[in-house]
Amino acid sequence: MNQIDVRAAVVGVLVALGGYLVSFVMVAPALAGSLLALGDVGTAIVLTLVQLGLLVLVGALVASRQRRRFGLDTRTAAVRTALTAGAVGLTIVLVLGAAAAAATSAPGLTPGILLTNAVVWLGGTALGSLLVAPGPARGPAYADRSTRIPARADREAGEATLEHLGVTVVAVLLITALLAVMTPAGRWLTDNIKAGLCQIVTLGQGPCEAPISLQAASHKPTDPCVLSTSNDVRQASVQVTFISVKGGGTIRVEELSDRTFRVSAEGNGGVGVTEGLGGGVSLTINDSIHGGEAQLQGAAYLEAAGGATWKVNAQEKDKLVNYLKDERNWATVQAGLSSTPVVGPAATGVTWAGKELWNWLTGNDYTPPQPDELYAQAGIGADGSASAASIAQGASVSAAASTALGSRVNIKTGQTTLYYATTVSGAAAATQGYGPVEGGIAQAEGQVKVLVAVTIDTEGNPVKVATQGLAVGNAKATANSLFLGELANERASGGALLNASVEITGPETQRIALDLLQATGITQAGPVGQARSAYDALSTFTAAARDRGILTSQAVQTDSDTAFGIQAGGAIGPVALGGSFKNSTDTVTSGEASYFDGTGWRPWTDCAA
Amino acid sequence: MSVAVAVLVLGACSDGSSTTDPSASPVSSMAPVGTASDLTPQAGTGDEESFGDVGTVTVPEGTTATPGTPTTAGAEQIVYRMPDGDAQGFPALQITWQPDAPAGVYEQSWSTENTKKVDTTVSDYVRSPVEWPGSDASVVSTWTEEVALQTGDSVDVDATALWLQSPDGTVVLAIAFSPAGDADSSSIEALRSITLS
Repeated sequence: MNQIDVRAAVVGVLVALGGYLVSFVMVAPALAGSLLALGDVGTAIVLTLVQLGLLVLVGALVASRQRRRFGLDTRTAAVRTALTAGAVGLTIVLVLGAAAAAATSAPGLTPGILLTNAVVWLGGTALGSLLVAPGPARGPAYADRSTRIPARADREAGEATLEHLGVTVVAVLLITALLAVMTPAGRWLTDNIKAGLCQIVTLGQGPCEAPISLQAASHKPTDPCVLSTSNDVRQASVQVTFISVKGGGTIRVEELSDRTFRVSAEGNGGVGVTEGLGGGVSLTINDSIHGGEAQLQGAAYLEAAGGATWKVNAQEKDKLVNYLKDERNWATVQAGLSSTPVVGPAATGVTWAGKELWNWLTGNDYTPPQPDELYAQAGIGADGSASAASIAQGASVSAAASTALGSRVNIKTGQTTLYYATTVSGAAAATQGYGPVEGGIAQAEGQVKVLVAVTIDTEGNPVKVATQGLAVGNAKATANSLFLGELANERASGGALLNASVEITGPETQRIALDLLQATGITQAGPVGQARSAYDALSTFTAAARDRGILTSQAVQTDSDTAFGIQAGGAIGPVALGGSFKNSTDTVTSGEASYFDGTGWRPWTDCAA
Repeated sequence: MSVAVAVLVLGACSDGSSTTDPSASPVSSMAPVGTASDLTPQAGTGDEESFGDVGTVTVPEGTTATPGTPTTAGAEQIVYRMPDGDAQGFPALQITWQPDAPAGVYEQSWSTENTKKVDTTVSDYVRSPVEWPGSDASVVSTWTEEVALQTGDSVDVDATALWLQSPDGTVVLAIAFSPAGDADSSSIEALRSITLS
């Protein structure tokens, strides 16, 4: 039969559309990170091959189905049916794409897009149909049609048909996509697919991550890390939407490894976080002016009092940053005007109206979204002395004390993360088996300042505890011992930023986390028993992180030769400070990152620029 | 010319209270919401003491003042123990101030409230708005704290904290500690007498 088999064509269209949606709407976005790492050419090759392969399969499926129903005289007998399926599928995909582009005001269908898709869809399906050899219709059910080639007497039992193969392939794709995006095992699957794709495209020569086990995949950090940070600081008293900056303002942009950005507007000195009046822009002027414009580059941070953070994509980032800078700079101008008597207030009103008019004429009516997070320093309120226990006569003395730095609230989830700095000192316990080390260090003795971040849910229950220490200078051995269980860090001879975190999922993790919080004085020990030493409690905690949590190490270079405390700034690992809290003014730059997979260390390839 | 004069006159006469006036103060996202505290300023009886150059407090005769030991950089502290103190030294008034504070009253009190959520010795923590003369931003926080003693016992202490922010950016935190249930303690009376310079 050389007529068009409509049913076969319909099946082909459905399979083609289903495979296209699964491939390019579900799987491809999930693998976007590794696709980017392949480069533009590699990405184009991979995506084109996937689409072409799918359509060749569809063409073969259509031809096979037509052969089974009606038989095929020649290889070209099913081409028209395959081309029909290809044309219909092409039309539907292009119409859907054009509609989506129109809805999002994105560029629409171009001649180039049309031509490329036509070649792939029509050429692929036609090619697939040519792969199917001629043959008779199958089964006695078709033998009574005069247009059919009589069925052969012998049956073709036990063979998987192309039709079944096509349906099976689509089902596998669908299940794979669901696993990749919805289940923990999907991470293992996605990571291994990434590794395989990387090996194929780079012919084994690229920086590809080695295939990992399911167990190892559970230790891989899921939060993106900060790749770079830029700060734009103005030392002036201004107030912009969301942020009232009495001592100056910083607009911080952090690029994360998942290609999103964290934009923070924060203030220094008497900061306040404000809401816009009337849902729009709110400009208020503080009469104080502190110095002139200042630009701050690199990793040094000012002591920020608090602010708001937005998590945005690249497109939104530019709009938001420009808006925040514009508002801040404009308010600076008006601050200068307001300090001038008589003329000042008049000029303020005039210039304000002019700005609004300019915004209206140029269409600059951007309204920033609500921030995702708010954060602020705790200051003297959380000072260890600001409690009845600290001044009560005859009160029992706590063995350790932490300093509350501040807190950050996720507006969407309601979770609060509390940050504390504590100094941990001591030596590795004898039971850990440390022996003499060349160079004279028999054990890791000393002290290291550790950051502890406790995340609590809306009920006040801790759900996650994370710790961070900087292994540099005199603190290196102690920090390595505490976090890594070893004196030396082979991955970062110069120094490393170490992060260990455990999610509280059951009684044991709860006990380990509570021990740490009590030992560091963040919470009070119970009436029975005495809190363990902070050193031992932290060692147990980091061991739990190595066993069932997340442990990362990022090489750092610092010009400080002394034990350094907390690296403020964005998330290098699970602990996110957002540049909120005071730290040394030393310059710190970060290098390669790695994570512990339960048995050894692996490169944290996602944390790479 | 007349138009320019009119503009100047209008500008000079502006009192900045309009919501469209750029100098109007919007509401802070971290300011406490809800019912305002009923804590009000009241002249005290006794000796007027100064804390730094920031403000004054009136404490009963016989009150002892000792410097505190805050760990926050740049902060200073004085602890006033009332003459009617019990074995634990309560009631007592602790005043801490931080000149040129990096974070304002709303931010610090907001973050402090968050921190108290994991403090198992603190209960019934409430943060409320309040108005206080001379302060740009004011907050009242109250809570009950369980204090463990060396004897193995524990006592409950009520705390009333008054946060003030002077125009020069100094943040003041005054906490009146008193035995649980004593709403009219001498430390609260002293707290109410605090005035900013």
